[in-house]
Amino acid sequence: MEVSFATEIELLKLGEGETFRGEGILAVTKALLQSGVSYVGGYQGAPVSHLLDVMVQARPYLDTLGVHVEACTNEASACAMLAASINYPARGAVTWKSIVGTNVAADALSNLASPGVTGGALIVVGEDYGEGASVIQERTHAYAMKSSVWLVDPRPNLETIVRTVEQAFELSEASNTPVIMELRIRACHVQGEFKTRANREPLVSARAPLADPAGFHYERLAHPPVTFGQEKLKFEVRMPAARKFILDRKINELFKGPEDGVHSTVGIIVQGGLYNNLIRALQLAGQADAFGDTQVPILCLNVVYPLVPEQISQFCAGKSRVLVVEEGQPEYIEQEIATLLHRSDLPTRLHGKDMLQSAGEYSTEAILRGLSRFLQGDAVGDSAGDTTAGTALGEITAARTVAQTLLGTPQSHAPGGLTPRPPTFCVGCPERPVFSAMKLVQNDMGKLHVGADIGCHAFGTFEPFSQGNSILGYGMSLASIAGVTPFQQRRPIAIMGDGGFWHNGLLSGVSSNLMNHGDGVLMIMKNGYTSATGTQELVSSPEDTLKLLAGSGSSTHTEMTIESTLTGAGVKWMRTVHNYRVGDMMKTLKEALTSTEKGLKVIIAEGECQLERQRRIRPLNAEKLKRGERVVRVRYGVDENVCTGDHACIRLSGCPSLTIKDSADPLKVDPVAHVNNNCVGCGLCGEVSHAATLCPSFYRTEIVNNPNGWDRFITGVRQFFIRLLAPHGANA
Amino acid sequence: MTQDKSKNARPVCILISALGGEGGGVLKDWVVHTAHAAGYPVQATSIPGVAQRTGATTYYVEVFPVKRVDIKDRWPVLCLSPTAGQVDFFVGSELMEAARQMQAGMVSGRTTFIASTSRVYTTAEKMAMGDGRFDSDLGLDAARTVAQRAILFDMEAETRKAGTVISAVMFGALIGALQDALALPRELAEGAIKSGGKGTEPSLRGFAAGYAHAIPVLNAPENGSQSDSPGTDHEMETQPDFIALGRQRCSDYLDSAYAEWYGERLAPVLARDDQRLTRETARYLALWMCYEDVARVADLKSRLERFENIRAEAAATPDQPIKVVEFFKPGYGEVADQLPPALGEPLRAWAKKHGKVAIFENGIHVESTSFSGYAKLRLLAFMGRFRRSSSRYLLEQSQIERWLTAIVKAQSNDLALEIALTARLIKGYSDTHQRGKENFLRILETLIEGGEYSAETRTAYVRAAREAALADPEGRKLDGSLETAGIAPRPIKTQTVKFYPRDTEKRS
Repeated sequence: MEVSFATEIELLKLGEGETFRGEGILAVTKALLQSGVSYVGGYQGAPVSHLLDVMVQARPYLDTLGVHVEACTNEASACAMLAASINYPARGAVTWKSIVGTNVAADALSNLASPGVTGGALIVVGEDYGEGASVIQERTHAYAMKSSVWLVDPRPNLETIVRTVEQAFELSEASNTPVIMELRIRACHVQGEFKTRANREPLVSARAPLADPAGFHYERLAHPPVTFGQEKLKFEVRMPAARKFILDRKINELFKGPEDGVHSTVGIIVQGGLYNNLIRALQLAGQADAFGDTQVPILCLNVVYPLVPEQISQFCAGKSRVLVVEEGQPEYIEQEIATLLHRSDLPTRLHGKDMLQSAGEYSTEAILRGLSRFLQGDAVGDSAGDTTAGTALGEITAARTVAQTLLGTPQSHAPGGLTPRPPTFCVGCPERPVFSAMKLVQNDMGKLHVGADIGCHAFGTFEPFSQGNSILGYGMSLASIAGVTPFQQRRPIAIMGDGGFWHNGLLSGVSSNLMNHGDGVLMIMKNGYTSATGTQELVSSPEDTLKLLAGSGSSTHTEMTIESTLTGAGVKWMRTVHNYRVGDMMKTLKEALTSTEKGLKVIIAEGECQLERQRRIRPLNAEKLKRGERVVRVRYGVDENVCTGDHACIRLSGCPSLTIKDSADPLKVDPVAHVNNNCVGCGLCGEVSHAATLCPSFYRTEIVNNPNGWDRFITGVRQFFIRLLAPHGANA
Repeated sequence: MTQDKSKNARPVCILISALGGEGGGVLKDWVVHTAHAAGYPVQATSIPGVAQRTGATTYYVEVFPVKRVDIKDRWPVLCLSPTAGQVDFFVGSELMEAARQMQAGMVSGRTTFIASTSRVYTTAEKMAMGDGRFDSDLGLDAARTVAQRAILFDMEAETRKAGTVISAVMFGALIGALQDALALPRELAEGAIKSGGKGTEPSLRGFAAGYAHAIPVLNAPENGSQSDSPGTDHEMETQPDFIALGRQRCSDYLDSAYAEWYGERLAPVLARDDQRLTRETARYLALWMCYEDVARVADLKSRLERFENIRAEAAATPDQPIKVVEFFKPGYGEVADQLPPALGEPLRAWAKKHGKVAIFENGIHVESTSFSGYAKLRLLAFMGRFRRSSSRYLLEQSQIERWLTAIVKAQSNDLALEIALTARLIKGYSDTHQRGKENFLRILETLIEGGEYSAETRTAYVRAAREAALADPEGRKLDGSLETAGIAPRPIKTQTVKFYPRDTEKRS
């Protein structure tokens, strides 16, 4: 990875009583060091990539503390790392994107949770839910419940988050149970400040090694017959211990409100992570001030699992109605509270999903809508509060209605209206040409079933390519076509990135296909990194020496780990094609699709991630320019008067730098194609116009910076002769 | 301010909309830095995710308007996401994304709305066969209607002028506009830029430009600069003389006799005495008569002024030599086009029989800045002089005649106009051109020359068919449109389906 985290690393070094100012996820990272972790692991994914990325680059500093950092190849391996805390008093933390990462880690999580831990074990998950999320919308909560591990959901401000990390380790140790901390996307990226404490050296570490391994204790294995005892232990010993800790340390917060206020006979129970949105909704309803002093009593659950029954019943006692603000489905907390109330014979009426929207993010607006209904139904009645909430809701609705009258709704697709803008491949991305080739091949051969996967190549599902019939998970594309292949007349094709290949694809897809003598085509995008998550390294990432050799070229073609692995596994038909050669890619694809050879056909589409390449090249070129050395800059262009404005080239590319502009020719109505100055000269435009026999509008320009004597001489000679041949008096 | 007053203070809510790679994150950091330096409690969040890969994203900042010294150890509860109707300041780098935030209700009567009039087109807009662009006027009008104050200017142009990134211009405009709500000295904002260290000077220039646009408060003139906002209706502009342009084009294409013929062909249409009809017929007749063949392309590519344009577009300085390489993939079809029918048709037949399309499978590269490459282009361009005997020429002229005849004979001027406009379908090269031409001819045969319809019905059908053909590159929508006019869809084109050998014995 070419990005530097030097400033972030400095923040990790802050000592006692200093002020940390930065993002939430970095604050968590700092909190881990303040808690004296021995080891940290994880798998990258928004919004928690930063934790691991910074830790990996901070290795030299972490070595001085004795903290081990491991960039795991998937979430299962990250979760399995926590096994170190089963036998040893070592604190450990791992991180990943949830729900998807937790799904992958689930097996290890169960086997970790059953024997329990000695040293504190914390899993920091990025709860990728709501606006900006890129995965299926499910809750991590279910995992905490079914594996009986504790789930903390702190109020989203840096001080609370950091304090909760520290408490989570203690909670984990006090109850011998791993703890999951869920942080929503915006909480990970929230910028704020907190007073730091000094980093603690871990009890057990590379700097303080143990003389002997732990003794043999069968009860620490997740293996029968002790698993039966472990299940009892979870609910008879560990959970009560956890509840006691939560109560004693006041981890959940009570905001009582005025004793004799209008709303003192109702209350709200909220997940910690939603606290700020709830307060804003209360503010808009005139029920809370700027500092969060509330008229409606609030029990804020910084630990959302397990609940502490006596705390809940105490809060509900004397209240006629309680609203549970719990995001997502199913409403586990609300259901448990309902059971609690029923068992304890409390007459408190319970509200939640009956008043709040059933699915989707609990934005301030969503909470305000529910809250407004809740307050209206208040037996005591507070017309002022209702009116304020109503006014705020009116403002919200009005703003939207007026704008939508003028601009249309997001669903109306009137001509001249707004069009969606999904993310797409970067300028010069090596994966774009593969989809151009696929589209062209399908023009010739007919449509294909395409198994899509997770990674940047999932952008191929968007326009202008619209390729992909299913996405089943990270590295699952080949496995996902196993049942499709037998009933297709044309071979299906699975797209997989090298990230997906190492995350899961080799095992779930390739080995399964080989064992079952499967057919089908596997396209592996070998760009050298897990680019979608921020270009983290893979086992097959090109070594620094290769990158140095490649200079401004692609450095992936010399790295052969994937090829040799596939050969070793028994793949017979394998071709490596450089991505930008669209014609070659089409030929190879057609060959793979029509080959009489049986078995899996693998095409390795090779081309280094352009993002990473540009980060390497730009400083190199800048340096060369500074030294006065000759540097050739390449970009593409479109002849405006040759272009007829049919945009066929765009339908085969979608490159952000290939855009349109008004035609300077007044006779032409439609905008013409145009290459803007973001072009990095990848060459796709030229390749596509060749491969598709598109049009002759495209040209390549090579601009010579710091030309040498020969450049100047030959240019002069050429210009002289060209002028002789040039038409005279012609008007364009 | 005492704590009691501060209890009812409302945070200043700032929503930033940007595209991935525009430096929105840096802008957010600058705002936080400035507000913090000015002594205000501030909190910011973002949802970067994959949006950093050129998608649209937002950043959200809340600044509490009471300084930290006045609230002692109490910290206000600030929100992490914007709420519709509650945003005080909005700044957006791109007009359609700004409009999207309006659509979501984020802009209201309390909002100072700052947005660039410049556009970065979406793929959906760009890939349309005709003009699929968002109507910028919609966005500008909505901004003026909805927002309390709309500050609209071309940030992209200011960015280019300052040689910086758009986030610097946005920052300047935001800080300028914020002067109404918060005490944020300009020096503090500039200090935030300086503390970043990289590209400070250009960023400060960009900042100053943005600031200047936002700072005037009393009846601030809206710097909409309509002229450079895209998507304005061509008809609103002063219309150039299309007939003169067409004559000129034809003369440049072939010779003065050809230009004369252009005028003669147009005469009967002029007789219909309908300005718009004349203009559109003049437009499409000129474009069609000057159809792009190999010679024309070579001619256009070998003009000296072209190289100057290329230099300018690539921002090459006069001392930097440039090399220009053209991408050609001549097919047998194009060669046959240039030959007289007696030679061209047999060649076409031969190529079809042998399944040959391109002469050079991998295409050819011609370096037009080299002597030999340039000479090749001039030679090809020269061949254009013998166009009149080429098979393509004869074909195009006969089709033009059919089209013109239909225009002249049309039952009404409205219908004549629709027929004239149908020629918009004919564009592109090779397959694209062929598809467009097929669609055109299909409409010409079925709806224009054929069928029994009233003038009004015919007009409506022709318009609908044209729009359908432009909406879908595969022609399915055109079929649908024709079906409503009672015309059966084309037989599905045969496509060679290649079956791969199946391992049947194993399954038995």
